[in-house]
Amino acid sequence: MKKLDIEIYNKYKKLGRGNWGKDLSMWKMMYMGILYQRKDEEFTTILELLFNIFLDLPKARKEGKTIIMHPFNYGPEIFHAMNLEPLMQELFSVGLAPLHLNETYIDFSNKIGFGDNPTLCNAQRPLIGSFMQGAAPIPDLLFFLSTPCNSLAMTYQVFENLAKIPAFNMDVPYWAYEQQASEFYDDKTVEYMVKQIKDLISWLEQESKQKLNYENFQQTMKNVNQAREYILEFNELLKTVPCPMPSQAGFGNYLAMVTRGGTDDAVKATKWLRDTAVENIKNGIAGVPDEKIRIAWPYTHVFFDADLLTWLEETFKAVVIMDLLGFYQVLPHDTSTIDKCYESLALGTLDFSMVGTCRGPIEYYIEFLLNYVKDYKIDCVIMPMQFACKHAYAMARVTSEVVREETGIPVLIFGCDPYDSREVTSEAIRTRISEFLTQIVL
Amino acid sequence: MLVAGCDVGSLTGKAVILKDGEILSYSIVPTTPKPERTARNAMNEALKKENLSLDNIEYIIGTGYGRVKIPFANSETSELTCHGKGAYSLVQSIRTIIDVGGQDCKVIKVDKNGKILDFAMNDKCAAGTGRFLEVMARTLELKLEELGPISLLSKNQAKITAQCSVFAETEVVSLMADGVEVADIVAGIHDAIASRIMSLIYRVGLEEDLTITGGVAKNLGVVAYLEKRMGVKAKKLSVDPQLIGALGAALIAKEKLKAQ
Amino acid sequence: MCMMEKIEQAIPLFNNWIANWKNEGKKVLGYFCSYIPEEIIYAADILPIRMRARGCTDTPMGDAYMTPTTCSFTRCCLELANRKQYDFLDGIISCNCCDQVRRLYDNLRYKTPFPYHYIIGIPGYVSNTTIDWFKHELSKFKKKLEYEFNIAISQEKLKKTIYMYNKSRTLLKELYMLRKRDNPPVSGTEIIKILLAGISIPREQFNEILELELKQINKKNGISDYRARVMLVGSMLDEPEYIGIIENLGGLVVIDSLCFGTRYFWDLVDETLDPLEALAKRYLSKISCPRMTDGHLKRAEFMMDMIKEFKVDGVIFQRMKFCPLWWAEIFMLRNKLKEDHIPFLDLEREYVLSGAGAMKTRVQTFMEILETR
Repeated sequence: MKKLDIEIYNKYKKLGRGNWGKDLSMWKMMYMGILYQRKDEEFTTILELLFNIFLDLPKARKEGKTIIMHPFNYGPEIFHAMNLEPLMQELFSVGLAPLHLNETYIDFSNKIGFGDNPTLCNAQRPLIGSFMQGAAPIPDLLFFLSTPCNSLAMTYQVFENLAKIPAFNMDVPYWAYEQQASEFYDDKTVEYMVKQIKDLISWLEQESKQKLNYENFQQTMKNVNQAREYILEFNELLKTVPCPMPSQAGFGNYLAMVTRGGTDDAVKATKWLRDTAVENIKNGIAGVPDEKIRIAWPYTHVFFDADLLTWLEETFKAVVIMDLLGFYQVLPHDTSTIDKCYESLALGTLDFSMVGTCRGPIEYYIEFLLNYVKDYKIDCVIMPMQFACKHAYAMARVTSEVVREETGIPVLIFGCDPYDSREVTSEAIRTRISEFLTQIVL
Repeated sequence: MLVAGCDVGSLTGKAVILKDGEILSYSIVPTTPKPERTARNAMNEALKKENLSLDNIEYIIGTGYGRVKIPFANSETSELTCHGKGAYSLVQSIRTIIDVGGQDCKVIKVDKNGKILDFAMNDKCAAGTGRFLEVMARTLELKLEELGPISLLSKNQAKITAQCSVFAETEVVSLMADGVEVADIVAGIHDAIASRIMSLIYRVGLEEDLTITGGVAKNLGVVAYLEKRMGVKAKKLSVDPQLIGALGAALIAKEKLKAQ
Repeated sequence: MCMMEKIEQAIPLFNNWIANWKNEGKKVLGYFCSYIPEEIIYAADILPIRMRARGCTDTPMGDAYMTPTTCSFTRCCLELANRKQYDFLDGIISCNCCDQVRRLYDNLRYKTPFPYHYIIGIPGYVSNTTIDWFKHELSKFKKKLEYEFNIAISQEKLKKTIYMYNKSRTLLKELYMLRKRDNPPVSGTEIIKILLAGISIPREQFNEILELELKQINKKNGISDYRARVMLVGSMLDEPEYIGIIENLGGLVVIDSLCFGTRYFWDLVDETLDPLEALAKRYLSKISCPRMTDGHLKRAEFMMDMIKEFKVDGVIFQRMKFCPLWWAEIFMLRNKLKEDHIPFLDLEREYVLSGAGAMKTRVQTFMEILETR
């Protein structure tokens, strides 16, 4: 693999120097840690995007931009349209996990009496711990979804209570918006989302003291949809055997959309991923040479174990096509009128990664997985469920039964904590997966 | 004025007799399956030492997990209140009391007047209690009293990661098979106990001065590892730490008698 | 049969009241959560039974399908469903009140299906937009019920049912007000029994019982031999024995914020509005449970007001193990009480009462703390 060009590495290292401000101390530490960890990687558009996410925050502070924190399951396009700086909260836990720094903040959260595992999800708890230590960036505004995840909603409420900043809640309804989901369909679903979005925009205008520029809005939505077009193509291309991209390449798409959705950066990043896939197919390059096993991974990546996927590739020639977040499934929509733009935003919220599959009945999740297995010629399913993620873990067994019955392929379910390496260690995870792949799959 | 406190715990029964507020006699007896019998054994032994009989005692408070079953007690008080009272009566600068008993583990916070402010208990799980040490002693084929001193000889403490004492036992067996030094394994066990106790301390907050009561307080290893984790030295008490509960109960008996 | 006997009779999961209702050829539907408007169900001549899992002792199936590290109430429900203890129900109405109950809906449908099972989507915060949406959900629900059980729910019927339920709410509030006295004439244990009885007793008769109880209790000599006045706050609790333990140790429960308590009846439905709109408004904006993500300040305010009005000495929090909603809520409420120097006790529990000894030690110590203040 090509190493990061020493000039580029030094440039980014230099950009990381200087005083970012006390409350950005953890943010800076994450940036330097990730930069150092990635120095042996090829400098791709996705990596550039990742570094810029970190560098943009101190820049926004200096420029006096309003910073709004939002969760990992909501696209920030409306914030970009209003020239606010979005801060995706779970970057903390996801970014700190491979650096093995989550543990400090989780322990601190425990110390102040906030939560225990597995009552509350560790994707958000490091935020509270780091906030209490004065190390977390404090946004100006807070936005979160009240559904589909209780743990997220509660931790953000606690953060709102501690930091005393204005917050806006949004509800994601239970129902599907397309008739084919029959008994779980409601024709007013999109209308409800649009109303809430308009409420959100009024609130944002009031809090940030600026009005939404409708031209900006339309251009932002056009950008979002262009990115969605590229992702749609990319997702199609991954159906090829052998898979043209290495494990979890799609996560880059999700990362781009959840942090920079609506901007040119996201369009650039998603285009680059699409183009790379096209090139690889043209040149007969497989993501994993001599691909033997195609794995569906319908949950999050085990974030603290940065080498897990490489290990899978090298040891078993197994490619993980996509994880639940990386499998971005929002379709491109019409943006010719402002009303259509609102609708596009609404559909983006309803179908966003993990929201679309988890906001309703188990059928949404099962259907997603069955389609995934059939379309992508999957050999086996691995579900590393988080102990604290109750709505997902309580679906795992029934889903695996249905999948096994309908497709005959084997499913592995095991519990772990993707953010805390101490709960279930890398070794234990690899042992489980090894046993599964050697005894059952191969 | 003669009053007494009787503490019926899971591993031992204790009694303390006070004469005009000073300790006259005490006893520590092994527990029996019936709390009433344990209580009687403890009380009788303490009485015998001073040639007293039960009638001589004007007020008795029962405490400990078997407190409701003590037939000769005038009333009963929770062991948390008793440990708080007992420890504070000996050293008035004490604010945090850690009681590591046979089956449970408690942390008690008192204010400058010795009144209980807050407490935290762990009684659902053997990790961090005397029971855990018993199991470990058996696994390592050592005597319970030997564990503390041996842990202090360790040069390279082993890490025991299992949260649950049942799994910790398995872990210890595999460490022994790997040829790890016994002293290092014992050190690891003591550190694990200290870690469990720390999580309780976090719940109420550590405030000095601090002391450790209960039978396990006599284990130098647990005390040393706990002090290391807390970064604070525990104050030693002039009375056997195992008796603090019964002492507190007796002091409360004195108050109740006065109030009558 | 005396009043207390009638009430006690209504407490088991399946009892004479439900049997009598069914013998008349009428339907019974189980429902989860105080956010589901019972009025709509009752107006369809169906008895709404709040889902409980009384009598469940272990949960092997619940553990397997919902994992052991989740709410024991939902695991017990799945277990009892598997053991056919809910066979007297003609169906269940679920809602997305919390993750666990939401997934219980899925697991029940796949593993132990009921003849009818519908889910209502309840918004997670209060605004004009969400109240409109909730009205839409309720209108859908009403139509589905009418279709499934072949019965028309007229506006008139709905208005009458709302009137009846409002009457219960008013009577229950009056009963609660008696507990403000220095010597309350009724204990928390008795109150929860009355509230639980209301689940199975047809509403008309329950109101009659309430009126009689109110008269009788009003005349009683108050309870004077208690050690402290306690407010009980927390999640789903339907075991009188749990409250009994606290009260036997001298902690008289004078007020609560419980699912089967104030959160169930405190707010009235506005009878001047269109019935579905009134129901949507009342149920969504009532005293909330932590599932309402914008409701913390109001919940804290309610707790503080009740502490003042009912002269509470200390608050006992009880939460189901592994419940993220209550864990976080109690974390915030505890901090508020610490600020205002009000003592509290934080208890963790499983749905099924066990380990009473441990609970007793904590409650007793709390009583001793309150007494020496």
